[in-house]
Order: sequence, then structure tokens, then C-alpha cells
Amino acid sequence: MSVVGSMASCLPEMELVPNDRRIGRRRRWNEIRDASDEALVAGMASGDDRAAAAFVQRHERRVFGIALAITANRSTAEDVAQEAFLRAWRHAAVFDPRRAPATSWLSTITRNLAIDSLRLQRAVPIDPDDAVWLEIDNNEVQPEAHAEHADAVERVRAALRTVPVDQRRALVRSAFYGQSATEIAVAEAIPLGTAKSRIRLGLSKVRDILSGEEE
Amino acid sequence: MEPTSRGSDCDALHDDLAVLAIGALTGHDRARVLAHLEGCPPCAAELEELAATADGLTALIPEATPPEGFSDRAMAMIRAEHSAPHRPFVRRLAAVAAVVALLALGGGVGAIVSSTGHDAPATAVRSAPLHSTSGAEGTVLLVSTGQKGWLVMTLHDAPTSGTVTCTLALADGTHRAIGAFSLATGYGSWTARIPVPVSSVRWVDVVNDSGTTVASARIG
Repeated sequence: MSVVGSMASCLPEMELVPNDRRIGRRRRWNEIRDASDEALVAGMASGDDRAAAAFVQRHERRVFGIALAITANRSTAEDVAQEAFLRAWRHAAVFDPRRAPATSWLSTITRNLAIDSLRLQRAVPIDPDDAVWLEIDNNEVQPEAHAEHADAVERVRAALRTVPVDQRRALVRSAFYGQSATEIAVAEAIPLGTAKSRIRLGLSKVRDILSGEEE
Repeated sequence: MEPTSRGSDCDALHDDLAVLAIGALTGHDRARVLAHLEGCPPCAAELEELAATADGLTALIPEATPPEGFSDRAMAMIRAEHSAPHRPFVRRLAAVAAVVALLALGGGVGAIVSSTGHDAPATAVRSAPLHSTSGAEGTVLLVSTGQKGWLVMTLHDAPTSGTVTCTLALADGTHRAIGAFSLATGYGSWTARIPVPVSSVRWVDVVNDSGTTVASARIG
């Protein structure tokens, strides 16, 4: 048997029995994939790009969903979503898990970037009344949502359901489209004070319900 | 529940605190509330609660599946930044690029002047979208700081992979190839010094190995 033939006959066996290093790498990846969000952000802060890869895979649908809902443009949404993950990578070291969960932190980064892109285009691409996510009676369970997250979403949705529609619209215009109270007053043809009151009443109501002060 | 130590000043700002929390307070009103918050811990605590509530509304937005290859492209950007040298100028350039990339999302050619600090020279930036007939899209930024000029380019959805060349068409009718970069699954991001004044650049072209123009941006 030639040397070449001998080596070739070994190859399938090498494929079937991975060496310890490959097993270790796979186990390490499984550990990273199962890590908490906060652990992944800590890994990103230390420069571990595998933590970043797991973080991107876990949250890409949420981040892209926010960017798409606000910008209503898939190409712009992809740019916004990529920039959001890049910002998360850059600022991972200053993330404070005591202040907010990592998902809220990432969602806020994404929302702010999407709003910035809207401001630069000076446009609100869709009518706030038409936003699909304003359909708060939608009880569809998102397939990949964690049970804990789905519960949190349902609590926010239930809270928002109690808010009168004019207040809800003011919340949507400001929270998701970055409109100022002055812009809302113009768009809704109401006095500035009324626009501010709607925001305050709506936001306070949601806050009180979520904190259990009001049922 | 209202904190007991809040006073009449606090009551006067009642609406504005919530409006600030959701990011909708501007101008004089915003300055007034921020000044009040400096000396009023109860209002600062109230603001934090309301801001957390406003952030929580984002959870209602449904998830959506991004385009194929999204996570690979996002990781390419992260790894590019991870491996890049972190010289102060590169960081300043990245900050300017991030702002102008968003500006460029609106389409058309834009120009801004930005100052990156009280002791830094003004940075003039021109941005333009890259277009093609093949579906490739991207953004070109030309940044001039003093005598130096830089080009920052991102390209995606190009129907090609491998090495491409960046060529400048100048106001005097000449062309200048300034370097080559690689596209992975149609995506590439690249930064380079440019050897000519930014004001002389009219077109930026991306050309593949066989000499075909993959994408072009009209600068001025």
C-alpha cells in the first residue's frame, strides 16, 4: 500500500472521530449558545466575538423587527439592525444589567437608531394607526419567543389596551417615530398642552399597571 | 404614588417629565426640566421609572426575519472593528462615518461639516449612495481633515465575490485606481487614504476582475 493510499484510508476515520480540540470547541460553542444575555454581553465587553455571534443569532429577529416596524423599509432596516449590533459590541463594557435587561438595552439602541434614520429622512413612513404592532388585540404567540419574554409582552400589551386611543397614538408617535410633543400637536391638530397631557396620562397609566399599582 | 418631597415646581413640570421620558421634549422646555432634575432626586427617580416604561413599549413590536446572510454581515462588521487599530483618528472617522451613513440612507448626495472636538480640525464629509444595475448597493463617504482625505465604503448585495478595485474619476477627466478590497458573499466594507483632494473626485467606481463596473457613486 502506498503512503498516499494509507493516508487516504485514514481520512474517513478522522472525520468520524473528531479530536479533543474539536470536541472542546463544539462544547465551548454550546456553552456560549446557552449562556444568558448578560453573560454574552460581558463576553462581548471582553472582546469575545463568539459571544457576539451568539448574541446576534439570538436577537436578530427582534432587532430587525423593530428596525422594520419603524422604518418600513427592509434595506434601511437591515442597515439599522447591523449598526445596532455594532453599537452593542462597542458599548458592551458600559452595559449595566442592574438598570435594564439586555433585551431592553438592545431594543432601545435599535429604536433610537431607527428614529435617527427617520429624522434624517424627515419622514414618518407609515400612519401610526396602521402600525401592525399597534393591534394590541393580536394574541399570536411568536414561535421563537421565550416564555418569559412572551409573558412580559402580554403584560405590556394588556396595559396598553387600557389606554384611550388618542393617548395610545401619542405614545406611538413619540416612542416609535421619535416625534416631539410639538410635532404631535401639529399632526393631531391639538394644543401643545393637550399633546403633552396625552403622553403623560398614557405613559403613567401603563407604568402604574405594570408596577401593580392599578389593575 | 407621588414622592412626598415633591413640591410645586415638580407639579408644574408634571407633564413635561413624562414627555422627556419618552424623548418628545425639545427646546426650552427640555432645558428647563433638565435644570430642575439636577436638584430634585424624586423627579429624577420618577423620570427613570417613566423612561423604563417607555423603553418597555418596544417589546410590543413583532419580530421579523432579516434577509439571508444578515448575521454573517453583522459579524463581518463587528470583526472588522475588532481587528482594526484603535487610533484616535480612526475612532473619529468611525463616528463621523456612522452619522453620515445614516444621512446617506435618505438618498442623494449630502455634505456636512462636523467638528469632532474643540481642538480638532473641522472635518468635511461628502456622502453618496453606490448604485448599480445588478442590485448592488452601498454608501461612499469622502472625508477630508486638513490636507488628508479618506474614503469609507460599504457595499452589499453585489452579484460577485473576490477582489474588486476602487477607481476614482477626477474632475480633470483622469482616473485613479486607489486600491483593491475583497467582497465576501457580495458584502464588503473598506477604508483607504485617497491621494487627491476630495473636491476633485467626481465618481467612485467599483470594478471587478474582468473590468466590469459593479457599482458607481456620483460625488459631484
